[in-house]
Amino acid sequence: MAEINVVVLVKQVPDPASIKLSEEGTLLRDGVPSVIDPFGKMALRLAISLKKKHDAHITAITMGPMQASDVLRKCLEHGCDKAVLLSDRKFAGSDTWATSYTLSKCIERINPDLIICGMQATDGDTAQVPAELSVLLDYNMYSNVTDLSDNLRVTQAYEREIRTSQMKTPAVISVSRYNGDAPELSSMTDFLRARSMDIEILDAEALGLSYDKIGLRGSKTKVVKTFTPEIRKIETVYHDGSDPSNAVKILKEELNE
Amino acid sequence: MLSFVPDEDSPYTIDECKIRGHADLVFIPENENDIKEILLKARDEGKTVTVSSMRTGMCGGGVPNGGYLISLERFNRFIGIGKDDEGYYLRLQSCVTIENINNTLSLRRTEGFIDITENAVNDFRNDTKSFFYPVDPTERNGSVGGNIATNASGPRTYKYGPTRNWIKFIRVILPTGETVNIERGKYLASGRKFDTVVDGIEIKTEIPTYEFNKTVKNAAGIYVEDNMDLIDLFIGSEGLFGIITEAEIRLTEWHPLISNIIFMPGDDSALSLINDLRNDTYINPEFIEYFDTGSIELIRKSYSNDPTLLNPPEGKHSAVFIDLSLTEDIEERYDALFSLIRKNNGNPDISWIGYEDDDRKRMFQFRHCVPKSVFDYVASLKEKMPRLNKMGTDMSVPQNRFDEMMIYYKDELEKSGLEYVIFGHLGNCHPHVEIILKDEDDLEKARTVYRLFAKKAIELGGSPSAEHGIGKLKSEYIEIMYGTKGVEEMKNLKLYFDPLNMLNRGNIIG
Repeated sequence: MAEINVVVLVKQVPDPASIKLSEEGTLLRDGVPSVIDPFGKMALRLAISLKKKHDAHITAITMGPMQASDVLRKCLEHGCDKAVLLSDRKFAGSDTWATSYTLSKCIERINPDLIICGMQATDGDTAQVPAELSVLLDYNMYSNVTDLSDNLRVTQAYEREIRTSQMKTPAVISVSRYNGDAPELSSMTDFLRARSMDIEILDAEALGLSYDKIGLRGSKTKVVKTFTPEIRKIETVYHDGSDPSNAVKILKEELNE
Repeated sequence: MLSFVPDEDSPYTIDECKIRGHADLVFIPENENDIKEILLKARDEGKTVTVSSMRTGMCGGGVPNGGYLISLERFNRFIGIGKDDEGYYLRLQSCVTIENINNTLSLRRTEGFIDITENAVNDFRNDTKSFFYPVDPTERNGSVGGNIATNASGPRTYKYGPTRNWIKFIRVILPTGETVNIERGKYLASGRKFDTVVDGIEIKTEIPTYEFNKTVKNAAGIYVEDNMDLIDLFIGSEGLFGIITEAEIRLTEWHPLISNIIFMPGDDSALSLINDLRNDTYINPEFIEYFDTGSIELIRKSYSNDPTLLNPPEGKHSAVFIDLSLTEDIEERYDALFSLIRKNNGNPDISWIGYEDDDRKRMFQFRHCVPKSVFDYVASLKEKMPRLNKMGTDMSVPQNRFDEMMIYYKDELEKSGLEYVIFGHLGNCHPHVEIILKDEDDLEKARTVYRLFAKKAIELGGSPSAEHGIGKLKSEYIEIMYGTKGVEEMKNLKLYFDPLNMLNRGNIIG
């Protein structure tokens, strides 16, 4: 099969193992190390598995502050061929729509056959970006993907069914699980090779973006409040249920009260 | 205070070496007064008292032979932070685990901590640098008190030394029920004699005259030296002299690390690489760990169905595990490392690296799979063969005798026909030989070769117990090491602190 052109999208999030929440339930990021979000890591491994099968050319993209280049370096260590960081103060405050718009403008230039994303990022948990990208770029959308075979048969796992179909490119796939054999850790030589590779950094101007479509101004939604639903504590009453006929009577009386 | 009669299969009367003890009663004290009450009750009733915490010991030190068992599990609170010329130190109760210490430090969870010195908690919280407790016994669920009582060490001893080097203070309840606060540097022996007063309690006693072997990693017997510090008498004494309830541990500055597991084509190539690494002065690993080909196969066989664990690469491999600090010259250090790997017929491509917490944790989990699979295997045989216990060596020898010891291990094991794996801390010339027992015949054979190994290690100037301690499993080697006179002197010292020989009876001196 001819070489396929792949984009993998990753996001830098606070390490889920070290997450701290404020009393108000918001994420405290200070002092918490950042990592590739867990679903993004699965997307990365799935993308890398295509390298062996299809001689894929893989570009890793992330959007974030300059230090987000750390997660791109990690993508290069895992075998990605190129890395692009979209970074600009004007991107600050982007909701999922503004983020997708910004990403789509970068992806258009690459014109990939496949865009591979994690199902959702652990810091926002919206799961909206993959679908928005498919709309913006007019790509097919495959969600809940768990595997992609040699001949691009895609496996999607839903709660009650597993669906296998022939993928039609160009496509966006969002990965919900990956248990394939792409290595979980990179090698020492990969680590060194990636250190000498460049990461391309693009800002709004380089991408030719109109400012009213990015950042806070381009966002269509606003987070008003994040909170943890209150857990109601219900007192449990225990009765002797060893005699089933009496147990029914006890339950009836209890329910009538 | 909670107390109960333990069942025959109670988790309170067993530890990780799987020897099963028994106790009349288990006590779970809430505070020091509860401990004193138990000690007085035991004295009046003529009972022995064994102390345990997380029961992760490897030689039965916390396993009772009757009498009362004290479980210190409620002594699990952090107390505060202090700072002096040597840096920050943490004060905590003795059953806080090593895992909990380093998680708390990395996340700076200092809520409720008190200032041991002025403003120390705030200074620590706002410090631009991060700090950690560097002693890393592979079992991180062990308690700091247990670590102190056994002078625990681990792979990082190669760089940071054992627990002893990091203990600033301990608070101890003596077998008589009195409490002493022992600060490092405050109570020193004169030659081989203590004549001092600690918190109003006179400590006036001779200490053993033998030479404690400090040339190798060594946790065998009571530590003594001329003009020694009283705190060092308690550290590593396996609870013979008192019950540690609190401690102050020193912290050191954390620096970013990259973990590396290098897969090598065979045992000889890995051992030769390790030898080169020990003699190299530039690459400077934080520790050097070894897995023979049998260890890697054991992991593959035991955990191939567990998707949460890393799978070794295909093919037959041994492995060398090292941590490197991420310095500016890391690329040059890797170049030097690659040269050594290639020289020993290895391929740097067949390796794993990790510098994110999660990746490094998984690599350490991979390392821990070797002893764990042996523990699980022994536990599964225990019902059929109750006499069985884990047969793993813990012996160190001087570097110039290491090759001789490794040949001896292999020759004797091959002769005996026993199945085995070899892994461990080769930076300190301290491998663990785990004998994989299949039946009771194997147990007898294993005991025989184990005795041979211990004698050989001592003969070569090493220790029969480099880090696990002596406990109740290995006391026979104490006489080989220290002679009848040495054992008598240890017993006399024990009786000075514990005239009724009540506390942790059976440890070290039988």
